[in-house]
Amino acid sequence: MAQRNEFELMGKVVIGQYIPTGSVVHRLDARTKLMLGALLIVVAIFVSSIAALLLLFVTVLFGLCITKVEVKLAFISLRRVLPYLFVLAAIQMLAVPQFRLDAKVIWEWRFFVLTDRSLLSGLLLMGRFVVIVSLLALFSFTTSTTELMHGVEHMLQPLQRLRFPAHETALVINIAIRFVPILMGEAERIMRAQASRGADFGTGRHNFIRRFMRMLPLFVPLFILSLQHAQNMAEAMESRCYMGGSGRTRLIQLHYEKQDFVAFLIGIVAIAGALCMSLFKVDQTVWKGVMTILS
Amino acid sequence: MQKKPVIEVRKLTHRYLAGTPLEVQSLRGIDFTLYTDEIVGIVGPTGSGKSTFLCHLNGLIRPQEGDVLVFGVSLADSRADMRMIRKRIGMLFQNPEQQLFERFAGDDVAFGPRNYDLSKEEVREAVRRAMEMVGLPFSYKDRLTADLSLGEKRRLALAGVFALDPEILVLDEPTASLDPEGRRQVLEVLKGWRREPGRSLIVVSHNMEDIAELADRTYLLSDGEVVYSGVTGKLFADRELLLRQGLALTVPLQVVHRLSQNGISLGKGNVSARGVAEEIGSVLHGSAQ
Repeated sequence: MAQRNEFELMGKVVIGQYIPTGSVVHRLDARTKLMLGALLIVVAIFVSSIAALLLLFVTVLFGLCITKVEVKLAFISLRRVLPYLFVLAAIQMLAVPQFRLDAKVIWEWRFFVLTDRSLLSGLLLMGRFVVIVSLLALFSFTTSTTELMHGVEHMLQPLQRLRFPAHETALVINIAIRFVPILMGEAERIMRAQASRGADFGTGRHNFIRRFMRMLPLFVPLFILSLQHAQNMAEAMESRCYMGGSGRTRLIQLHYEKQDFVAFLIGIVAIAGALCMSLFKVDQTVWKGVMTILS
Repeated sequence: MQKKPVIEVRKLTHRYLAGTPLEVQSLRGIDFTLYTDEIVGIVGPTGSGKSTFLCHLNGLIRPQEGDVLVFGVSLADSRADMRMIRKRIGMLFQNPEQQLFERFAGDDVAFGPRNYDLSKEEVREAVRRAMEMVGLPFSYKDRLTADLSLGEKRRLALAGVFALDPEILVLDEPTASLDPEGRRQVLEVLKGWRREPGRSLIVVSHNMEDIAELADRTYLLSDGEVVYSGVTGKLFADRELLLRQGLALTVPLQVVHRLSQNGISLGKGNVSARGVAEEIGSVLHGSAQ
């Protein structure tokens, strides 16, 4: 594997990266992806069943497989946060749902109590996280920021009647997203220049305050540069006669196609399945089944 | 006199975002040597890998393949003391004036010396010396950084690098976007710095006039490969190669070329304005006699 570089900020971020392969998922309408993504996330948060999460995960995995992007990439970011996730899950297991009277104690040591309920909630937390991260990877791999902006704008359109600035909101979101790599590039450049003059961005050796103080020389020029970028962009937009949303026509016209209905169908089936599994307590049935077989 | 190599680069290769679908090959097996007491120019079109190459010289990017030896220390070795090497190689990137961050000019110059934990007097002395070298009065240390002109800011950034008293100076586009006066001042500073023995300089530039004026030897990079390396005069003599790589011909070179089209060949291989002028002068005197 290639040696890691201390100053390559962008090289570390894979999630949030658009990878154009022209697959069927890429060709889906941005609104379809937005709505399905939001729905799936909400469902993943509300279901309380391992089996349901498994079904959602398989659906997302299926989506990832047909994007023609290496599935491995989706899990690079996940691997990095996994240690934190384990700690979170451990806290959840040992601390939170101790109050249920019907819970069976599995393991006990001093004041640490592990019940079947708390084990379940820990596993659910991890499951939810995995589903949501891979879903976000799927979305970002297949949706460019332009598409995202058009999608958001379209979906906010109904609010325009209530004098909600839909177009402007979408524009602000888009610019914010576009500026992230620009500012990261600038930060990288400044860090390199300062490291050349003996600055030490090393981790761990200093306490938090000292590290923060060492970052200050980075923030000042970064802040000034970002204001300059903003000013330049505003001037460029004005000189090209940008007047805001009303009466603008679009280069990209969004319309639903056959593949969007198929995607909705798959999504709805997965969501309905997950909700049913959660509602009819499939987990417990399976668990009981496994226990009877074991005994 | 036996020349001693201070930087040796062997078969250096670099890929950005290696192992992802967005992988870009930036450097393809670069060989490069820098000796003491010389100025080396690096030219090449945008995207030819010049900046990536520079970042390898003081370990901002570690070699993926191949090796970089600086003062005999291999930078591929993760135990190499980078802070010591960065002190001995001063590096100035493009548009350094955008990266000034202190309120007062003197504090910005003192950033380097303070990072190396020098005493208060030593820092003061280093700042005074560095500002003198770039031709800024010491009293400028109390000026607001924001109030300086572009040329002054550029020289202030240069002073920030000089403050660490490096043996090798690496500059990326030192004269870009300066007015002629600012450019002349920066070139004077560089020539003055170089006069001390044991110092070497690497200059990356799109401005072929700068290269003609400064560089003893020049490397031409294209698409991550060294296309030419050798004496600067020879590169400038190869008109075809320069045009093929999208590089500009300097005014003296254009004059030499036009003259040769009109049957007057100078042919001594001078590239600087002064050299060409002297040759034309001697030809004119010759024909007058």
